[in-house]
Amino acid sequence: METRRKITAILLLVGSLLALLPLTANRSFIVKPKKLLSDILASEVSYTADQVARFIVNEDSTVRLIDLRSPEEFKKLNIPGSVNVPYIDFINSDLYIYLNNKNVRNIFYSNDDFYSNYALVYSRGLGYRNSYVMEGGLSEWFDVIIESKFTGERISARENAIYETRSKAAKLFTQINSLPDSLKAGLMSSNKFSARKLDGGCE
Amino acid sequence: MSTLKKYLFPLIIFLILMIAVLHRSFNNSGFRYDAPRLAGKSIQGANIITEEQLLVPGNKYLIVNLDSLNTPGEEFYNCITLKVNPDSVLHKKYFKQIQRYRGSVILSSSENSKAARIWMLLSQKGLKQILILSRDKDIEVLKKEFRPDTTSVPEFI
Repeated sequence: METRRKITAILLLVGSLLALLPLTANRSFIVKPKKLLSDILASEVSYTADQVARFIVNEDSTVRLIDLRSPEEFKKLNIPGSVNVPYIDFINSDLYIYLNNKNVRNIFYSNDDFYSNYALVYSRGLGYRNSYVMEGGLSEWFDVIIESKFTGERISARENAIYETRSKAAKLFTQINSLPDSLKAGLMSSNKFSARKLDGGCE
Repeated sequence: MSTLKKYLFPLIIFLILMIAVLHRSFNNSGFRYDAPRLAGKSIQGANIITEEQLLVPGNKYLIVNLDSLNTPGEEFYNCITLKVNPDSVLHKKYFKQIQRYRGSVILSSSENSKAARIWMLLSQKGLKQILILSRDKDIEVLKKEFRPDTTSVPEFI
């Protein structure tokens, strides 16, 4: 009887200790603050609009663009190949759903520099080192890619290559975003995040 | 004593497990718990302050200028300005000063990206009264106009 009481007391103690544990422990930053600070201030974590344009033109499969704007804004206008994860959903859901593929570089963008950079620190803090940001967001994309014009007299081979990429990316961007809503919706649905399928089974 | 000896082995295993669980739960690398809650202010833009709001008399703030130490910082009426290189924002000297300031601490930088990154970092460290100084009232608003071209369609359609 005495032993039973002791075991009961231990179990009660353990139960109360477990009850006091923070439920959100798995949703806290895991990277050391100084390490995170040096990571997020490094130039390697951001890509320019030109670099993103090159990824799109080359159909680089190691890159995934994540649009953090609202679904309405995304529906109206988006960078080809991007996936919409509204910032509010990004913060409030399990990032594993979006960032689990370690072979892919996830590049965040929004209209400006705020949401994308919050998302960068947030995801890197939670341990997703494959997170990057597009500098300047869509505003910069418009300035650099869509409204790009060469004003000089002579163009070097390097400049020519840059302008050619910009022109191709701008053309694709304009064509896709000019599509009727019905066609655009079809394209967007193919880019949604979906639950991972189980491996194996019969065909 | 005999009971203790009898249950010594399961007790040791249990204690090891308990220590492991506690370590995993409380080892937060110096950051606070519940990252989504701490990032909450950024969703609605409640962490942004404009210059107009800053100049309202009676409000006192600590301005943390994140731009290069060599560039002259903006001086605001009634505000204390602290020049901090972003790399050093976690140094004890600056961090304690920011942490101990009674009132709002405002991050100012010519680059919004830098201020946004530091804001998220400090918020996750548990600092609550941190704001970002924005030159623009409307943040995250696309001011560019898109002109559709319905005459051409992509090849894959």
